[in-house]
Amino acid sequence: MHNPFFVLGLDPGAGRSEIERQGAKLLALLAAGSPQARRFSGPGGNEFERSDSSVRAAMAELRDPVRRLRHEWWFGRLGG
Amino acid sequence: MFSSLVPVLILIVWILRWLGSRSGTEGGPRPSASPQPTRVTVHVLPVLLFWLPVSVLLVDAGLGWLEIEPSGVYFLALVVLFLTGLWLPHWLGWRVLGPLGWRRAGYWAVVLAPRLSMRHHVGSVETYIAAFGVGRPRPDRWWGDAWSIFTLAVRARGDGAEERLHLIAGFLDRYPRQRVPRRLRTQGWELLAWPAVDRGHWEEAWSLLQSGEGRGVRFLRALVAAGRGESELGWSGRARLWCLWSFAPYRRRSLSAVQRASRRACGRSQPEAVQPTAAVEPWVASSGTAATSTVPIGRRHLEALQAVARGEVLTGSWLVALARGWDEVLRAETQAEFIRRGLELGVPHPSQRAEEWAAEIRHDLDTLLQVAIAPWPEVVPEGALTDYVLRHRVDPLLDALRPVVEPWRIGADIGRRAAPTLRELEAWLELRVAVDRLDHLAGDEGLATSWHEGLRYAACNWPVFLMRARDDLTTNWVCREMFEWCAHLAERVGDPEILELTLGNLESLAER
Amino acid sequence: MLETAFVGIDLGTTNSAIARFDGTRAEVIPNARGENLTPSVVRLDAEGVPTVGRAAQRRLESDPANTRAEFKRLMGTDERLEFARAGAARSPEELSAYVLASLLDDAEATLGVRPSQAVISTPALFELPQSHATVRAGQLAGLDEVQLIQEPIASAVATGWQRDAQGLWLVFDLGGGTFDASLLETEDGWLRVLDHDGDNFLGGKDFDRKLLDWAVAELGRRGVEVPRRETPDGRRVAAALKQACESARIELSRLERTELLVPELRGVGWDGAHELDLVVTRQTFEALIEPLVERCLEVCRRLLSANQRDAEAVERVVLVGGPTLTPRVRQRVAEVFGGRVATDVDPMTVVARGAALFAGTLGLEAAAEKTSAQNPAGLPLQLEYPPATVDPEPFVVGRFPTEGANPPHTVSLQRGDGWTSAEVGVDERGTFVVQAELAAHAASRFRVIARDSRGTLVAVRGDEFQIVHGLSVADPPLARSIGVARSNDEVAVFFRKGTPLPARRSVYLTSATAVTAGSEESALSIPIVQGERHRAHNNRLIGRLRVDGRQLQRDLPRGAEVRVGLELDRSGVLRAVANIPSLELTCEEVVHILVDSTTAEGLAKKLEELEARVASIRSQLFGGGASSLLRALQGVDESLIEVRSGVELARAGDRDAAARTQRLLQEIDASLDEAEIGSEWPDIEAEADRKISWALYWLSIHGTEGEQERGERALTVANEARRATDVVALERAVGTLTSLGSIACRRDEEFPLWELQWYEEHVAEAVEPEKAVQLLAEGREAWDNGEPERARKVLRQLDRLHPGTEDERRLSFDSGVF
Repeated sequence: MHNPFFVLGLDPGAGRSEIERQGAKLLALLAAGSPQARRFSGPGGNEFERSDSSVRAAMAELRDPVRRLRHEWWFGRLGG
Repeated sequence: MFSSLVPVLILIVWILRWLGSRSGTEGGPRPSASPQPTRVTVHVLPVLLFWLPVSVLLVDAGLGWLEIEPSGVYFLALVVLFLTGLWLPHWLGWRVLGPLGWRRAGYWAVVLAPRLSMRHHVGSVETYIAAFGVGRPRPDRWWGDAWSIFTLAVRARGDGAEERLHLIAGFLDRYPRQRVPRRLRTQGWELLAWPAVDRGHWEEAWSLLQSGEGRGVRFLRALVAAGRGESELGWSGRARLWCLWSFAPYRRRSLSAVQRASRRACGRSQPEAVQPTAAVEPWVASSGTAATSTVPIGRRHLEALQAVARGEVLTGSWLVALARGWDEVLRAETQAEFIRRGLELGVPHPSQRAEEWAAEIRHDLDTLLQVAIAPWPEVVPEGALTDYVLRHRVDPLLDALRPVVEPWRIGADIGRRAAPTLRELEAWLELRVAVDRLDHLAGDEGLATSWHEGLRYAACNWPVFLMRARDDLTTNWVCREMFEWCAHLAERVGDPEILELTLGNLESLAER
Repeated sequence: MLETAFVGIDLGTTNSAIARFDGTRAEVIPNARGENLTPSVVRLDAEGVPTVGRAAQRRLESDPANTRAEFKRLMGTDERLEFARAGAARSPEELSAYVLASLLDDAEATLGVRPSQAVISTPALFELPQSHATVRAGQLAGLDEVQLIQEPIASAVATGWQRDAQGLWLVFDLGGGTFDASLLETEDGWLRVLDHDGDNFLGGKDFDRKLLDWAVAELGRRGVEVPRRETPDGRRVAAALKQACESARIELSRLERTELLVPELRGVGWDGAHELDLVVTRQTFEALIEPLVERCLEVCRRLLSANQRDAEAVERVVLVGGPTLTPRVRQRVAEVFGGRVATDVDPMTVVARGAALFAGTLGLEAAAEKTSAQNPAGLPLQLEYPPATVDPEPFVVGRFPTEGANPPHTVSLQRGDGWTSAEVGVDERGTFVVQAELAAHAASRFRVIARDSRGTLVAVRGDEFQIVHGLSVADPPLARSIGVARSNDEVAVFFRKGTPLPARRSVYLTSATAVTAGSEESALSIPIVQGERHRAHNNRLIGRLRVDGRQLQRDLPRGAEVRVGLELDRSGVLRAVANIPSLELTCEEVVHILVDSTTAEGLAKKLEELEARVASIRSQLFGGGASSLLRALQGVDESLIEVRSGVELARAGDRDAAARTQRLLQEIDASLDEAEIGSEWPDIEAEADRKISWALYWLSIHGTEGEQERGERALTVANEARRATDVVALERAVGTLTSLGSIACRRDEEFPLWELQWYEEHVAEAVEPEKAVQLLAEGREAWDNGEPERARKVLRQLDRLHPGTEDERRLSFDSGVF
């Protein structure tokens, strides 16, 4: 699984509302069939596929504080 | 009429005597060494012993010139029959049964073949085993020659112990050339290299083929060189390969490999059934070495795990740099920051999470440790994880050495009965392989640790023990190999006591 | 333009309510009698015309043959309830549909339009079939679109709405027959469900029963013999006593003491000459219900500790359900949670209001066709936006189809009160993203203003929409893992517990049985199970997808690839699809099975089974049984007497007795299960020990340090689980150890040989025996030639051919796939 911050294209400092707003925006873009929304950049600049289920899963990951803390550190402090 | 045969018999006896005297002169330091069939005898002997009596018989039967008496005819027929009996099983085993897949039957044909010389016979059987992969040579009989070492090589091949095989190949290489039978120099090397060629392990085959000689070895070298992609195979290269193939033994077996090599050369490369395995090169992170890297540690960590999942290896220096990076990240202040952020996010028991997180990282480092190879850096561990990595890189290897080394350290092995020399040598080789591996993976520091943990006793006392138990040419030769290795290690780890002792032992060995 | 309305319905066991949300306020719609609650009671007259609510409830005692209540308990069963006078039978869904229709009538009267879309609440512990039956009831009542919401979420939504609440919530929902506790969390206005727990056999009716038992005992002390329930007098008296107890319980919420008045006893067990003086004080009542209240609190503590929280962490407790009005309940909850109890919430209607609010978050407007008053001639526009959100500036994404027409150049949003967003460009694919600004805690209507490159207005079709500010509910998490049972008794897990819904996933499986084309008997069965246990048979079968021979043009061989897809919607309705690529066949089914029925016959049958089970356990005990079993059996005999009389009453048509008996049977079953786990515990432990020592052995030989460390952690967990006699936790820990052990075991040089030997013994069970034999020969050859890697590769291929043993297959609900 990719780091949810990458999937959502957010910084690790993003607050809960930013996560939800960005998630909702991506879901809307995906529903509208936007091709740009279908891809995201992972660590090292590689491109990956983004789907509505991966966005939902990423949002669910970041809602859970324990999991969020881990993702935040891997992404923000550690760059992974 | 029997009198007319006298000159023939005299000729045969003379030739055999001549052969005996020849082998006596080339036998090295001791005249007791085995008579070695030379290139000339290989071709002359069948003519003299087989085709000559047959021709005599035929000429006599057809033209009656020789007017041999019936008793003489019977005598010659007996000679022919005897010699046929001597060669036929070999011919059957090598040319008929083996190639047809009845390898076991071929093996027994070769084993049961009448023998002129026991050493010859053993060599013949072992070559057969090496060629057809049936049976397993027993290292209990020590003939004190290169065939015995070949026995070990065939056993190592059968065990799939490549490191051991290479060590033995090194022995054979250092063995006095004139004392290595020609058949072994030609067929032996070729047979040892074949499985590696079949699997496309070009590098391994290449190192085994460095010492051999003869048509087969020359052909295999050309084939392996093509496989390694050493040189672009032009039409001349292809022609040479095909030419060498046409003279080589086992043409049917090697046909497809030659076809593949020349197809590849023509650029019609197909996905092959057997892909050559690339030499194991340590994985280099996209970001260079960790110590100087600006790439965040988390990414380096994940990239290394991905590389390992792909089957790559990485260097100890790189891993230690990663561990140091982690030690820097997992400082008390950072842990406190982690816990603070955890509290902010509403994580229950954040300090417990911090511990779990550190444990996970250690688990990952453990995974990376399994595939890390030398060089290892000379560093003083400053953090817990660096210390962990440096400590743990050696532990499993030391664990592997301990059961062999311990009896020597406490002196238990000195009092035991010596096993056959080949068995002792084989056991010693296992130790050497383990130490080489330790050296490769953990470098000087690992070596020094194991040396002082008891390896010095095993390295030094084993050859002394063997030297005391036996006194024959090849045991002495084996002991010299052992002593030399011990001296080499003592020098590397800087143990003057053992070095002096071993040099003294080498001297007394030379005096024997 | 018509006012916006979102409708939510609390379809309760005893009472139901309907509420509306207009974008600003959520309020209950009173029924024609002006009451907020409509009793969930249905009566059919001779013509089959239904009466719902209070009018029907009044006839419940006097005309039980034509009046039905508490049918919610039967949702999802195949039972049909008889109505004597109408000479008709109705399913629980149909009866619920009558109640729903009556509520929708009330809504129509208030809103001026009949709702066609609504959200209906269901208990947190409802199983999938029951949820599905609820959706069907909604459809029968004339709703086009029905979404479900779990009651605790609805309560939290209603309580959290228009509050700047932050932190952890506990919803304490004590209904008539069930107790649910839910843990929720609000952060920046975003509501999230953490977990639920509950007790299906604990509710207000148990309070009444305690009081009833006390009353019978008191009457006995006064020399009044209460007649047996089997007699007609007995039934009448029992019903009256029950009613009196219920009234007393409610009165004791206000008063310190009350009297139980049971005039029906006159002439039966009581001469009527002297006063019975059956006074019950609040103190007595509280002492009676104390253990029940503690049980509720225990569930709450369990829930908190499972989520690693304590009572201190809970910011607010919301009490839901009539029985929570009992002062002792409120007092104890306040004591445990430091007084942080929401007091301004009406526990009776909170669920309906929450459901209406949730309808708002889904954009499920009551009258769906209302938005048609829009420009029919303009460019079509697809709009994506959150119908309700706490985000004051949400994104709105739109797309103009580019085929045939040029999309507009720029777009902006205009809010009803005149606010206009900045103009944003429309890209070459016709897509635009614009940020809206919402009016605080209200519904904002927007219009999309589109202009071409010259700035001229472009007519757009579907350009109006509404967003409600102040409310967001995160995707609900799945309560229990769902997967497909494989024929080797393993589970192919599709969705893990906690997966956000909706969710969709497909997995490639292999057929373990052949199916003959055209044959009705031969079928491929794909059992769908729910639960956390490792072995399929330990989980609950919730549905089955069948591909039978009649659907096939050609035979389906064993070993064919079957792609199984499961799809769970937000309401938890499960849809399953099996796709067989080789036959180009797709079978689709909404998974639906029935829950246990409560017909008298069904009860009698269950009773018979239970008696047999008790007898068998008793015979085991002669051989020296576990003390847990002995304890369980002591209570069972007494309960069985009650069950027998309950079955008799059910035969006589007493619905309540039937429901109660059903519960009692389940309780006995559960306690026997538990006791049997207790008696099987030594076996379970021994099995676990065997597996643990196996795993530890291999870990010690081939395990890496990290694996050994994880192994030790799992061992600690296993030991804790063993102390707590927790089968699931023990199995999980042993599972972790076993998989670590098998990783280590695989490193052994001899491993391929052992595997080959096992497959040689079981080659006959392979789906393609010839291929398996061939692979085995290949594996053997590879092994003999000293090529362990090739042997391992062959083993992986062999593994794909092996569907498990016959026994495993039987245990796995006869699964036809692996």
